[in-house]
Amino acid sequence: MGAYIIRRLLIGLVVLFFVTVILFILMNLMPGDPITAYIPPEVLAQAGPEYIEIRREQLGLNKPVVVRYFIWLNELVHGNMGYSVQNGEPVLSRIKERIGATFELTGTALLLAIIIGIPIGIISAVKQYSIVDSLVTLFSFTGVSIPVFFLGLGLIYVFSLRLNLLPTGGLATIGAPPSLLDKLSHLIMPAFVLSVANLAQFARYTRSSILDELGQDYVRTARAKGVKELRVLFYHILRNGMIPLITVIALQIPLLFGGAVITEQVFSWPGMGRLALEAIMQRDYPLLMGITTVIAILVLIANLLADILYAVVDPRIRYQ
Amino acid sequence: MMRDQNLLSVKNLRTYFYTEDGVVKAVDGVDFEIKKGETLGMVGESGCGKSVSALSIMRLIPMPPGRIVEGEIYFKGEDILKISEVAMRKIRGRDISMIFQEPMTSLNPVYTVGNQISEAITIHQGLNRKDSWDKAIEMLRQVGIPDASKRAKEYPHQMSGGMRQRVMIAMALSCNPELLIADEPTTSLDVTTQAQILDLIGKLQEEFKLSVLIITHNLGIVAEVADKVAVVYAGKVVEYAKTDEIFSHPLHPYTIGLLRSVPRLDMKKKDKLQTIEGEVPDSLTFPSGCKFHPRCFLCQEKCRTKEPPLIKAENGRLVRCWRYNEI
Amino acid sequence: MKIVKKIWLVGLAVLLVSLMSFSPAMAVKEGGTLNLHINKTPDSLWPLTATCRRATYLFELTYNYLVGFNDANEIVPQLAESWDVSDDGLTYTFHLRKGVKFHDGYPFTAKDVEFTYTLLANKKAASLFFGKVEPVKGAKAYYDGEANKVDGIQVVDDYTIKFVLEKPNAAFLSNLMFPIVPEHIFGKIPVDQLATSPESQKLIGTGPFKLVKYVTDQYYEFECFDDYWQGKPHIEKIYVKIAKADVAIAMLEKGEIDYIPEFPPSELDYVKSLPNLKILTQTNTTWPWAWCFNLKRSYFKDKRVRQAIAYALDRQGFVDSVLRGYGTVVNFPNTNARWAWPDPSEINQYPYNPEKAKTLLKEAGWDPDRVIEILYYPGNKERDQFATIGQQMLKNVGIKADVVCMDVARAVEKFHKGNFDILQTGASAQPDPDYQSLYFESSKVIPAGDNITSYANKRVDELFKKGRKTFDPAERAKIYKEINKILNDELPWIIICEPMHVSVVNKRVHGMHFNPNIIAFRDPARLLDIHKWWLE
Ligand SMILES: Nc1ncnc2c1ncn2[C@@H]1O[C@H](COP(=O)(O)OP(=O)(O)OP(=O)(O)O)[C@@H](O)[C@H]1O
Ligand code: SF4
Ligand SMILES: [Mg+2]
Repeated sequence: MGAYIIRRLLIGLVVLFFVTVILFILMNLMPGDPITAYIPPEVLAQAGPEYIEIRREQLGLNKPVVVRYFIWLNELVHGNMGYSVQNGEPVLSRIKERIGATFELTGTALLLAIIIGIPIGIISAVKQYSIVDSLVTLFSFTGVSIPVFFLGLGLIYVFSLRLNLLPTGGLATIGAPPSLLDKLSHLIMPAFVLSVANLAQFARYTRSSILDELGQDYVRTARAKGVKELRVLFYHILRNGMIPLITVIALQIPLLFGGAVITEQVFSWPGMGRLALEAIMQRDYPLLMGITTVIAILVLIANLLADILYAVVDPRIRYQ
Repeated sequence: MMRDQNLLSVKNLRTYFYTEDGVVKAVDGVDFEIKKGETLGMVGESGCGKSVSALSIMRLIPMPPGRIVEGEIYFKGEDILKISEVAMRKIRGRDISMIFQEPMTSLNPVYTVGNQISEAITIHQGLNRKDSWDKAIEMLRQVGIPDASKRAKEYPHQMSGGMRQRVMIAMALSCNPELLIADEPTTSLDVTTQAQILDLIGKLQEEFKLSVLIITHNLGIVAEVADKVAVVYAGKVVEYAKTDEIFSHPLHPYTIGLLRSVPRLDMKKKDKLQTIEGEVPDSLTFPSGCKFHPRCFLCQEKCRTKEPPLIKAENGRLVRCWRYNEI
Repeated sequence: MKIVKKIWLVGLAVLLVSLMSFSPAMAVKEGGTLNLHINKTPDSLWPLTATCRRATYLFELTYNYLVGFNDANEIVPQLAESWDVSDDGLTYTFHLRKGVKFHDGYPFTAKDVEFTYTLLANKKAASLFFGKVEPVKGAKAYYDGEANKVDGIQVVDDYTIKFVLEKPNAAFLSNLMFPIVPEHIFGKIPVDQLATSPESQKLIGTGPFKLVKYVTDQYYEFECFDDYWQGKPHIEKIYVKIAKADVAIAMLEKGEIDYIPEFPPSELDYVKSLPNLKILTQTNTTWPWAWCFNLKRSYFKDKRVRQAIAYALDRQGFVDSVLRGYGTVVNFPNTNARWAWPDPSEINQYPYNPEKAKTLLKEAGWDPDRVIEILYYPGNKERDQFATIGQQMLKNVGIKADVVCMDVARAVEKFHKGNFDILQTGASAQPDPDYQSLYFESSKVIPAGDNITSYANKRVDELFKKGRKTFDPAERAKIYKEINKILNDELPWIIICEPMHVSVVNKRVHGMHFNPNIIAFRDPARLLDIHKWWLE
């Protein structure tokens, strides 16, 4: 088990290295110059003729890509992710300011997706072809295809404007003393919106996974032993059915970060998503590199956790 | 009367599957009896309804699409098709146990074998964890697994097919059942292991005073272990008799065909093994009259139109053929 | 023909209406919290490097400029109480207001003015506004590192400062709109680290409000500055909330936001149905929307083609339907300086006339099989719609066009390489008409400057040069009028329209006064008199 984890970790580091190389190349292939991208033309016009050159020099953008990559990597190894082109703030501190909020949002969304999606999937598998099942199938199709943006605004309209139950966005009520209830009331809508696609996905996968397992021979064996149906489901089937779901969940995590970009926009949630969007629009390479690297690391960690969880759940992997 | 001596008595069992393509009459008239301590062999080609018969007895037919549409199954004098699911669950694994064809997949891959054996013990005998674990190890020992206490902690994938089948047997016998249903227990095993498993079942049958329903398409196995044989064709029992009678004097043309296709030790290499000509009929498009008639060498006009009933022949044998006495 | 007059009338009407609606009968109330909206977190709050227009709102709350503008577009005192200009037009002497304090209690003096403008000329400060001080004597030498101070900036005493120019520059005074930052704080920080220092984000100025808190990407909290030189503001607290535009409208309806300074006209129908809100407009914007031709393309060289396209576009129809009437069709690159506008009778109004367009195209020998490209980058919801609307209109007169949308960075790269046919964009106008030289002087052709269209006209070049040297208002007016007439005829740009500036505000906010012209060191200028606002 220890060797297994170490092997995965090493593979992860190698993957990370290549991910950063590819990201760096991609970013440099992206058309558009960071300086003209972030400074409006009319402002630039006042700044003096050599302004762009001066900034390029200051930011080290004149060096060849390979050199820049290694400078960046060297800094990264020493714990420095560079400085934002836009305002010169350290990338790490800009990320740090926002990563907590993103975690809160994506974590809650993932949790919601799991604790709602999986039971829904189980019910619809057990009651295959029932009305409940059809409803769940319908829901999972709409859930996967409904745009986050649309859903978010719709919910704001209903719950904030018409029913006046929930705030329109933000982390907490401005000026109010911090309280759990206030926090939750701000969190629930964005987390739900972000989770819907995943939730539907999880429900769908759980359903098909459980259906698969229901037809397995060992299920028949368990029943032939006289095991109660509930125990067959929760003790025998569920653990097997979870194995493919672990992969599905791990694969959803990067998508969750992607979804957070829009959700954060809609709900004025001060997370990394908004920062990422800005970084892309403004070709803020160091910032974008920092954000993507952080996300790549998180995704790798999620995969590692999934691998470990895999081994915990499935002895066939553990004893290889 | 007779019924009282029978541990299990299956009467006119019909189990159909209602599929999108139509009704599959997987079991369509199966009758047999098993007395205490007796072994009944059920033989027939693939798809003839053997497993469905066995699962019907366990009431483990997947519903939907399956349904037991007719018949009675008396176990110790009680029709277990009429009792509640809860009562049936108590019978499963305690009074009637079953082992399956596929030892590779019949065990749950994520739990240790000891765990899976002791689960049955816990359920039916109410022992605590430790006692049922000990009992599970004891059972493993009984089915001839060396180093049982260590192997109990292993997972199915760490064991060979023969080992797993032993585990299945240990599990099946762990609660001292009266009837063991073995659905092709050796089909997927290599020849040596087959013999070992059959020996083991025979040995345990003595020890536990078991009745056994052994399902196979291998007449050799039947000859070796069964007291009586039920030959099944297209969902129906076509011949039912004592083992030696079947082998010495088969009454049904299908049985004859089956016997001819068994490889014998005295056969020379160049002798071609005979098979029954024609194909097993598709259960959705059974022929009219005798279901066997397209393949039967004795087929006559009557056979094509009218289906023969299960006819009582000499010595209380049963046969489903218009022309059995011409054989 | 009468467009200009119309603008005047509308402007006047708005002024009157606003004056009436804020009738003095109501007693001014003290205290309360105002919630303002911006749709994005500004990249930086350091006035020298902040590029985001939204930062200007925060600057208007916290800083003051040396001079301001009144409704009649005249330069008026702010931190400078008065000034004298020498006869040769080279020396400006400012007499500074006494008793002005920074938020930390420190008095404002000439040192701060000197510091601020010297900083603008410091290369190491990476200031985006070197252009503002460039006319000052020695600024260039200082910028290039050849001098250790700007010769032309001379502190006389604590409350008097002189600016000496290299050569006369009529636009100089209006360039002085820039937040004055405190020397006593920033003078201690190495220049190249200023923009990234934590202090630079604290908005310490002399303005009516002081920043007390910033919650990342959520809001800025401001408190009124008791010692504000124009008197303590009526409003106690201001939250500047950051939210997406669509959501902001919901928040406005809920009362979580009181004021959206930049409101999309296409959403106004909805707002009109809500009783607690009112719509405010500023007639004259600094942001005309335009189609810029790439004059390097042989097929655009004939001005009849450009004129035909102008006739082909139903611009008034666009203003009426998409902008709900909140815009004005104009026919030369406009500025706030009305005095520089030619008489309407002297310019071509290019009314919608597809037949005339067709005739002109035929005369110019337009190849009907040619497919041109309309390039735009998403910037403004309503403006973006014009690309496809325009495409359709061109089709009607027999010009095939594709619409290409790219994000700003890619679009800028594309048009800087001169790789475009028509660029749809918004241009920013400065108070002084000299700013037009950025776009039309031949020495500013891209990539060296912002002359996107590569327009080159000797007469126009001459006029711009002359305009900078001329001080007599009547003379100057003549010069810019001529430039605008030429541009109106040659049409390097077709101005689609000037959208009116629309804000929506909760009716509980009183005392707002809008300068009909938007003039500031950068666009907004919505909050310049916020110390007079009060809440019901
Ligand atoms: N769940 C099911 N749904 C539909 N049809 C089924 C189902 N289970 C079995 N059948 C059909 O019932 C018939 C009998 O199947 P059964 O498994 O009893 O055959 P078998 O005699 O055990 O054959 P084998 O020797 O291959 O195990 C087959 O035609 C099969 O297709
Ligand atoms: S009934 Fe006829 S067809 Fe059927 S087995 Fe007997 S002889 Fe053959
Ligand atoms: Mg079978």
